[in-house]
Amino acid sequence: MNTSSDRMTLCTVRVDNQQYAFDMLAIREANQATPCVRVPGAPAEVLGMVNLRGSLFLLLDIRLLLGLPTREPAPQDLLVVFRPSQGEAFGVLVDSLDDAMVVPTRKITPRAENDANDPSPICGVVLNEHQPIPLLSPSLMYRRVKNLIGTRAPLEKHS
Amino acid sequence: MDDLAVLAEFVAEALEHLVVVGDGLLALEQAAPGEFREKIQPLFRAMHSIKGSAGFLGFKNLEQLAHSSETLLDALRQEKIPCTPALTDLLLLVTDRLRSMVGNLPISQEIAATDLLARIEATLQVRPATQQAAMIQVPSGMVPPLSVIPAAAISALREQEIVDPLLLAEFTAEAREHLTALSNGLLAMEEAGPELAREGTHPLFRAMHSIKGSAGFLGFGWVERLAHAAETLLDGVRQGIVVFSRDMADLLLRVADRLRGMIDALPLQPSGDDTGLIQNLLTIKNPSPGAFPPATPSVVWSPPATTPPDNQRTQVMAALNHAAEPAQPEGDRASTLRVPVEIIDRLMNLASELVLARNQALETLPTPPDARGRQLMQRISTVTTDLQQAVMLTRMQPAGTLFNRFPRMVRDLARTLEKRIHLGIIGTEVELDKSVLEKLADPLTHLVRNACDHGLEGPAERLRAGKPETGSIDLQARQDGGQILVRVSDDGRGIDPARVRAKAVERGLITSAEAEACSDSQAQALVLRPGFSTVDKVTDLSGRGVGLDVVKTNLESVGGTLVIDSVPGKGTTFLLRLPLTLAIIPALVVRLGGERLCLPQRDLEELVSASQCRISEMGGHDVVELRGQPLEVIHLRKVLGLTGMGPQAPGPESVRGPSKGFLAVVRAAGRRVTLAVDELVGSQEIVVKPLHPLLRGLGFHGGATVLADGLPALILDVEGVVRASGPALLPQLATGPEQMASRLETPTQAAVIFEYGPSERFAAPLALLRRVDRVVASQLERVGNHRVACLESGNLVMVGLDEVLAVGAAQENEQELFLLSPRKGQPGRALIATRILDTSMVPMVPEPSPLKGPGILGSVRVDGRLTLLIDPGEILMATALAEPGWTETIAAGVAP
Repeated sequence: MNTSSDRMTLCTVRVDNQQYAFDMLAIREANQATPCVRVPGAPAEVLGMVNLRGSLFLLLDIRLLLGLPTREPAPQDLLVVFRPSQGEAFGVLVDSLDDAMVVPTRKITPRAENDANDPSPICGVVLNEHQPIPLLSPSLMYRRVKNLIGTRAPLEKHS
Repeated sequence: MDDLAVLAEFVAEALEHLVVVGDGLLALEQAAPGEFREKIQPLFRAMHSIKGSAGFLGFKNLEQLAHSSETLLDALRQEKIPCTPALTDLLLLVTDRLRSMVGNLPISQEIAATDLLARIEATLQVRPATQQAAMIQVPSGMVPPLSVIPAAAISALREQEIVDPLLLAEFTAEAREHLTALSNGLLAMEEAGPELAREGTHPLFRAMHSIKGSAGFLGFGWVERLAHAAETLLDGVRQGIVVFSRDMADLLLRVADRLRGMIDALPLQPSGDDTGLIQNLLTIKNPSPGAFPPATPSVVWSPPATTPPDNQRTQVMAALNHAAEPAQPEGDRASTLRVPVEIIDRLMNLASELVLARNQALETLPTPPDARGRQLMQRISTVTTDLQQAVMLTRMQPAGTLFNRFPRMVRDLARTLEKRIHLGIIGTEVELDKSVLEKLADPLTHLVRNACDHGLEGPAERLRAGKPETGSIDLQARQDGGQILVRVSDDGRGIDPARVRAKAVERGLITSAEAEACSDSQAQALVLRPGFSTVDKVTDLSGRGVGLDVVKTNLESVGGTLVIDSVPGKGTTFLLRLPLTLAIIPALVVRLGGERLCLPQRDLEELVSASQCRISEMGGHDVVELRGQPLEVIHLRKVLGLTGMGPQAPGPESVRGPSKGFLAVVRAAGRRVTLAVDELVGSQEIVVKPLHPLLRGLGFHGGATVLADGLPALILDVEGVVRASGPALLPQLATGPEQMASRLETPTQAAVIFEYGPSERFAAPLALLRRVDRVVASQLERVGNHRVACLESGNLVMVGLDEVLAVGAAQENEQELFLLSPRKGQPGRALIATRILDTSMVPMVPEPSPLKGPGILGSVRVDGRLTLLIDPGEILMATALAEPGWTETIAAGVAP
């Protein structure tokens, strides 16, 4: 997160008709979604894989990670790809890209205690005039899926 | 460090190993008590490899930490200490630190991991888990790897960078090359003896001179001083004033190492005092008094500077010397270029994208396109294809980049082991894909080390055995069709089958009954099994039961093979076969639950339609009978958790009648099973892209690719899937005297089984055949004594087996015949088969045949029937030789 200064640029997105915010500096690019293929054998939190100009990116299911009902990717979805600082070559699909906004850091309340057992990717709340917006941490999403896959190590049997 | 490429290779390898360790540690925590030992093995191996390479490259701190952790893992493996969460934490912490050390080379090597070393030491000493509480630390995941090395230390190191980084990079790269040339030159001179050595000094002198000059120019006085002293000595040798000796080579190699250390540390001056080295360099040059240079007032012979030389003067001298030296041909400099691998990978990606874009563009063109459009598309097509090929070429590297590390390694090993070893290298110019070269590095290092340590005897033993005192190891690479062959052979003691048998029984790898049953070559192949090691003492060189099995698994994981050929008392040869490239592999694309998956051809043995087979149920598992052999059906859908989409995969659920889909027969994880898939999409060459790190933990996929339509697809890791499907259901490869052979991994080959006459059965190795054609009666003609088949590809003179061998003749009036065209031999001839029965795997080494004759390789049993294994090329040659007028053409055609 960009907490070095007293301001932070956020990018708000819409998922399942709710507004969420990402730190602008965590985002590598946002683009029209390219067709996504499923990854056989991966947990449901892995939505699939996309080819973005010859490079492959893993898509995580942001809905599942947020505890929302999941749905099949739609052509009008937008692809948000994160910077490597958040985790290797991954992104999410959002319904739409809302806005960019600069907020003073004092208006962001970090989530109480960073409980390692809490799988939520919400790392704080942005206090906005109208309503509070949850701030999402892509790296928390990445780590969550990593843990999911790590703990279900394939049963190994040597002959 | 030899050069940047070696460093980069090391870093990449080490990082991969660290991933293995990191993942493995997590898996260990979940491991049931029974499988603990099994699970720790790969971690141990990975750490061992890191240690080995780090040690070899001279990263002492890295080596030390890896060594300690290896010891810790070893203690764990032997259950000397219990595996506690605190211990796992410590190991994870170590892994993170290693990662950051590796990632920040060479700067990081200045910082020792004393804190962790102390903790490992403490853990090893405590043994009973009493002090757990003291060990608990922040979970390693919370510590970003980079911050593990105190950030202040790195920035302090970096702040001193006063030299233009570009200039510095160029200098270090060049200097490393010079030093590699120097080391290799010294080794060659050592072997050539003092007379020839004098000649060989010229390039070495120039190399050292260049280092000195550039170092002086950049203001690295400490490098310059040492290089200057070495140059002085080399000049002495060059002029015949000093006689080259083994001690001198030792000293100069030490100097080269020190210089390498200095160059790695640049722009800093590493700790340590060089006056001793310099003094040695200057004193060794005067073995006999009065032999001082007569009247050659060469600048480099100026009295050696014990105090730092005046910079300005040195520069003038350097400039003068440069002028005097034959200039390096300009062309040489311009013809090579260092390009970061990422850029090449990116180019590769873009080239593939361009192909896709071209395909899409083709679709949008009006059909049929007008002449101009067609021309344009054709041009784009050729250019894209050429581009892709050119990019592929940039990934090729000469085998020499890998082989060059061995002369020095072997020399040092020889010294340590007090043996005399000659290393012969052939084929440094053979070009390999970078990915293959990377995969080859570890196995080859192991094999060469192994040959030095275990393969070759000591000088005394060799003399007793009537061999020359100096043992030889030959390293040879060559291209063989679509594969790279690498041979590592020694003339040492060979592998004693009796000793191997005893050891294998002792280690519980086989039973004593099995030991008796297996042949000598099968016994020798046992050394490739995990957990096998005939050396009882743990050496610094080639470890504790880690070794050949790793080599084998590493090679197999990339579609390569390893074969041992050893004659006791005479020596051992290891033959490695690797694909030319791993970047593009042939694969079968299948559809499964609506998703496409790529199955690498190398894992695929056969493909059958499920409707042709009877699938039955056995203890909750599906079994299919294929040519009398029951094979387990693994439902990929079930293993991969794909349900409810697409057509139903083959299975017995509804009716035991014909089912849909296909069964792919694969051999993996020591089992032969079939994988059930819904649909075949097609066979194609795919560009392998690395698997996303998150997906590596699943163990189902080996990589990813982009298919022709631009959509991604995953490449199946057949081995992983088979393992994940659960324990072997059928005891096919597990026990029973008959299966001993396959268990001991007798090399087999695919062969076409066919009939000719009424009685005999024949087998021809597929590798010896170019093609098989089916001909019908209407295509047959008679010309003189010959029967000729008129095919689209040309006419073939048909040869019956009974013309050469004492076998039954075929019926004259067959409606349908098959023609086997061999790879070698006269192109215009083919062998007749009246019926093709099957293709199956037959032993590489057949039993003797009851029938003798040209082209008979031996006999094998196929489905319980005696079958003659023949070489069609040989047989055809025999017929041709019998005819006048054929001889010359034959001789030209079959020259090997």
